[in-house]
Amino acid sequence: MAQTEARQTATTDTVPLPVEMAVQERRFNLRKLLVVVVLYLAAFWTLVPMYWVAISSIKSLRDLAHIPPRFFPTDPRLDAWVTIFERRILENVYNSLVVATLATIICLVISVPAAYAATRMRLPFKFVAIVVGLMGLVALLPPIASAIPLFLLGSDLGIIDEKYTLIILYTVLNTAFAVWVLRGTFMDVPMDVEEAALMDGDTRFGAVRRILLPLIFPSLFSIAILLFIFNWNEYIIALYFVNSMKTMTLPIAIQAQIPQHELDWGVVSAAGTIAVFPVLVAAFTLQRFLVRGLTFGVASGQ
Amino acid sequence: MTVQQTVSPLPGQGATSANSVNTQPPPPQGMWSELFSFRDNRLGVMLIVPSLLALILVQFYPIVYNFWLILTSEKGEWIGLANLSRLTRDTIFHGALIFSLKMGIVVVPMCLLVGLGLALLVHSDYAGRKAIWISILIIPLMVSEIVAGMMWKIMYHPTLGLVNVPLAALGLEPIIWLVKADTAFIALCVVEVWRISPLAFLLLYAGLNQVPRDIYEAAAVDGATRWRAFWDMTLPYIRPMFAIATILVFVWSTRTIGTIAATTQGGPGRATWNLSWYIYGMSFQRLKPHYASAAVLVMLLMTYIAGTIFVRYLWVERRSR
Repeated sequence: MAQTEARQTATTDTVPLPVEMAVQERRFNLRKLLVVVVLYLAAFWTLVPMYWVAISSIKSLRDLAHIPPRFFPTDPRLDAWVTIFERRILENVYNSLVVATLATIICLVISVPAAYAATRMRLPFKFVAIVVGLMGLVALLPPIASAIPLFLLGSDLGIIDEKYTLIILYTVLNTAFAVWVLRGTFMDVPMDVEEAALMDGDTRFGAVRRILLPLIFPSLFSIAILLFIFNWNEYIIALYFVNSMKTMTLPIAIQAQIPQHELDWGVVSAAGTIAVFPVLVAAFTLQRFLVRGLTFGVASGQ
Repeated sequence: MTVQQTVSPLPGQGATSANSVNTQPPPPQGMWSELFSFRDNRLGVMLIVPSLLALILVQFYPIVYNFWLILTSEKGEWIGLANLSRLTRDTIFHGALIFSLKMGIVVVPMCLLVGLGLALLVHSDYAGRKAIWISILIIPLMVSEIVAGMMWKIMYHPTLGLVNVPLAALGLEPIIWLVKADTAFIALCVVEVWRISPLAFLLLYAGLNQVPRDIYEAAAVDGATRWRAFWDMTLPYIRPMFAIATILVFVWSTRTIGTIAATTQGGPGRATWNLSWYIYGMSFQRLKPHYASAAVLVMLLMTYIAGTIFVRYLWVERRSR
C-alpha cells in the first residue's frame, strides 16, 4: 500500500486526484489511530495502580489470595471498609481536612496582599525583585532540609503533635509558592480598569474588591485547590510532627496501615482510595489552569 | 508542582526584567506624587511583610540553624567540621548518596522521554478532547508520595499484584520485586517514573503550546520533513521548558522519601536508602539531628550543582544557532 501511495504522490504534482485524497485521508486516520492507541495505553498505565487499589479494597479474602490475581472482583465485600472505619480513619480524614483547609485559607490571606503589592504598587524595584526571586528559589529546597531545624525548634517550644503547629507550618511552607503563582495571575490582568476605578474616586480596597478579585477569581480558586492538595498530601513535615491519633493526618495513617500481615491489604487499599479521591477531582479541575499558567508564565518571562 | 515560580529566577531571558518593569504603574510626577509614592511604598511593604516573615521562618532560619547544627555535636558542643569529615567516612551515607544519584540518572531521562512523547501526542491534531487526556495524565502528580508507594507496593506484591501477571503469561517465574537489591532499584525507578513523568509532560506540553504554528507551515512550504521540523524548530523552542523539567524531575526524584517509606523501608538491608531516607533515619530514628544536618548540606549542594549544570547547558541557547 505504501508503494502505491508513494507512486501516486510522485506522479501527480499539480492537482490532487480524488483517489489520492482518499489515500491521504486513510493515512491520516492510521496515524490518528496510532496516537489514540498510545494515549489509551498511557492512560491505562496512569490509572491502573489506582484501579488496582480500589478493587483490592472490595475484594473478598478468597479473591485476594487467588492466583493469578483477578482483574474484576467476583465476590465484592465491604469488610475492609468496615475495618478501616473501625480503625477510626474518619478522624484522620477530619485532621487532614481541618489542617489542609485552614492552612490553605491562611496562606491565601497572607500571599494575596503580597502578590498584589508586588505587581500593583510602586515599590523599590530591587526590593520586589529580591523578595520574589528568593521566593522562587526556595521552592527548589527539599522540605526535609527545613524539617530538622523546625522539629528542634518545635520541641523546644513544646508544640510538637499539635494541629495548629501543622497548620502554621503548612501555611508558611506554601507561602513562597503561592506568592509566585499569584503574582503571575495578577500580571495577567490588565491594570487599566482598576486605574479607571481609582481615577473615579474609588478607594484602593474598593477597586480590588469590585474589579480585581472577580477577574482573578477562577485562578484564585485553582490555586486554592492546588494548595489544598499539597497540604492534603504533605508527608515529610507530618512525619516529624505527628505523634498521636490527635494530629495524625491521612498520609501518616496510611503509612501506619501498610500491613505486616499478608491479609490486611484490603484495609490499606481502602485508606488509599479515600486519600486519592480528592486528587481525582482536583486533576480535572486544575488541568486548564496548570497548562495556561505554565504557558503564560514562560511566555511573559515573569 | 513548584513549577511556575522556578521559571524566572533562572537567568538568561532579557525580557524578564523589562516585563516586570512594565507592570509597575507609570511613575507619578511632581511633589504630590513623591508623597503618594511614599505612602504607597509603606502600604506595599506592609502587605509583603507577612509572607516575608513566613519565608524567613521556614526557609532562612532553618538554613542558618542547619549550619550551627553541623558545627556542633549532639550535645551542643562546638566541634568544627567533625560532622562533615565523619560523613565522608560513613559508608551508609555513601550508599545513600550513590543511590540517590543513580536514581536521578535513570529516572530523569526516562521521565523526559515519556513526558516529551506524551506531550507531542496530546499536542498533535489527532488527540481529540485534550482536556480529558491532560486531566488523566497529570493525576499521578497530585497523588501523595506515600499513597503512590502504597499503590505500587500492592502492584508488586507477589500474589496480589498485577506486575507479575504478564511475566506469568510469558511463562516466567514470578519476581519478588522488593526483596532483592537490584530488582528493588528497578521497581522504585518505575514508581518514580510513574509519579514524576507527568510533571515533565505538563511542562513540555505547555512548552509546545508556545511554539507558533505558522513556522511549521513555512517549513512545510520549504519542504522540511516532519523530523527535521521537530529537530530544528520544536526542540529549540521548548529548550527552556526542557531545562526546567530536567531540574525539577531531578530534584523530585532525588528527594523522594514517601515511596521508599511505603515500599521497601530502605531494605533489603540498606540497599534502597536514599539521601532523604538517610536524613530521616539519622535525625528521627537514631536521634542524631546534628549529624543528619551535614547530610542535608550535601543534599542542598547537590540540588544547587545540578541546577547550575542544567541551566548552563540546557537553558542557555547554543551560540552556533
